[in-house]
Amino acid sequence: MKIRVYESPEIEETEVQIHCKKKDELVFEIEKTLTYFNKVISGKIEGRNYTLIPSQIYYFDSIDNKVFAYTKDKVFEVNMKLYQLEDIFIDTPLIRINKSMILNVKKIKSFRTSINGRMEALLRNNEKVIISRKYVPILKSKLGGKNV
Amino acid sequence: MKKYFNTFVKTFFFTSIPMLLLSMYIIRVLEINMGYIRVTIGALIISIFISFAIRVFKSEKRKGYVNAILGYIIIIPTLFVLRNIFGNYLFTRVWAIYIIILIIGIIYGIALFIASKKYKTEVDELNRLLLDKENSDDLEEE
Repeated sequence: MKIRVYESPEIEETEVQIHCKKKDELVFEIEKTLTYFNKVISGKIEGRNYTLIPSQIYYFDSIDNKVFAYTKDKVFEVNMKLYQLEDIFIDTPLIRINKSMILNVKKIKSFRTSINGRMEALLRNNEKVIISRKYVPILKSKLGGKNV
Repeated sequence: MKKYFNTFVKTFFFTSIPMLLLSMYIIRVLEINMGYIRVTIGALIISIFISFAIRVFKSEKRKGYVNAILGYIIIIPTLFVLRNIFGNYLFTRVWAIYIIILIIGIIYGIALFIASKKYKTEVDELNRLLLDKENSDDLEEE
């Protein structure tokens, strides 16, 4: 596979084109990875709007019918429902991990379990989130496991 | 509340079976008539305690081991309800209930041990997958 990058000050928006003989699994994976960077949403802090890209987001949490996006050290209010975000970020590392949370799998540092079977994920910013057992098979498949 | 009610219905179903068998045993062997309402109310109360213990055990609040201990403590009163229903027919000795509490504690501990071992295997697999993914991402970046 050849990768070429052309730089030009005249280009306003970055464009990626894939030239292939057939849209096989590799092409599909490349497309999926690029989608992760391409999807953006807007978040609000103190009335000011900001653009958020998936690679910045650690997780989305729904509290009292409001959805918040958590980045490394900031919290943005997002004017969308969790199921809408799930639809937008389909085929990206952002997946539902419990009833009120969507987590970016790329931000997980490690997993651990407690005596009552509760599963926790330790994130790169040292926050802990609880993973519902119902979503473990999806998580496993996202990480390349054979489950699901 | 809906979740609690779901757990309660399932618990009531599974509690009613041993209660029915115990009543049948007392009627057949000891030839003592057990009151239907008394046994049913007993099963209801026991189910309330057990389903509450399950909810506490599964709760995402507090630390895991605290929930496990609380779950066990909540189960204990069910034995006193059981003694109240079946009285001396089943609990011929006063200390029998304490032995049963101990036995239940041991069973509870074994069940916890088996479950935590099973979950640990799952978590180990997830950590391995995570590590593999990180390594493959690093290779791609290189």
